[in-house]
Amino acid sequence: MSEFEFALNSAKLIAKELQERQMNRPDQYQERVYCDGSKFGLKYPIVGFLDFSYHKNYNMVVDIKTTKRVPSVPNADHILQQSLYWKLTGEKRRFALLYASDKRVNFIEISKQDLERAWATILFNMKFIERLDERCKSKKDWALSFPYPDLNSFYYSDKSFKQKITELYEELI
Amino acid sequence: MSVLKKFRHSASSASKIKNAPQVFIADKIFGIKQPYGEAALRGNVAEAIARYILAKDPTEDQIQAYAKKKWEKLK
Repeated sequence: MSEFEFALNSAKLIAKELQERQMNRPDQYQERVYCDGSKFGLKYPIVGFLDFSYHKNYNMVVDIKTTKRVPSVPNADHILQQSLYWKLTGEKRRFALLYASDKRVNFIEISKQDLERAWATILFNMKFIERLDERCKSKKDWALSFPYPDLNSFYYSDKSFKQKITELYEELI
Repeated sequence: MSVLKKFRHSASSASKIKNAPQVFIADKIFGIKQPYGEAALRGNVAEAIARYILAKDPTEDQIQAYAKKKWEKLK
């Protein structure tokens, strides 16, 4: 099956799942959320985009995750992402992840407790970025703050990108 | 003095600094962007088609036509 067919079949299942939940046309698509970071003790602002926003009857945001393997429990990074949006929207909305492959879907609403816990983690990580930024006086300082990358990781699966990273670190060695 | 320029926090950047800090540095510090991958393309197209189905209640032919157009545009 081609990637195109996979996307098409996944989309049909996503729509079917939402329709079965009486969640038809979303009120907003790719809703932009933005916040001056100072509210959270940050120097830089925070931005995000919400997939499907339902305001009227649901007060819910649904984030779509298309994947080859639909998980039974949500991915930790996905909860972190939603916790950020939960905070940026004033902690008043419900958040759900809708995982979809071409064969099945899993709709998982994230509990408030999980959102609260995840928010503490993502705020910690954003503050980490700013602390590091304060310490680093040059681009080289930044690069030298972490070990040499594992170029076999999927993050470097694109040949051109891998080559550029290799060249960048070769200059530093 | 800050090395980060015009930086904005996002879920993606917070995830990268945790999971692959060298990729964060390549992008935000050195301006080396990770290319748009197949998974991202697949996700964006699926999302757009789902939204189209929910909004328009289209026929199968209309879904196919919209999906092809969207795929070509985003790939």
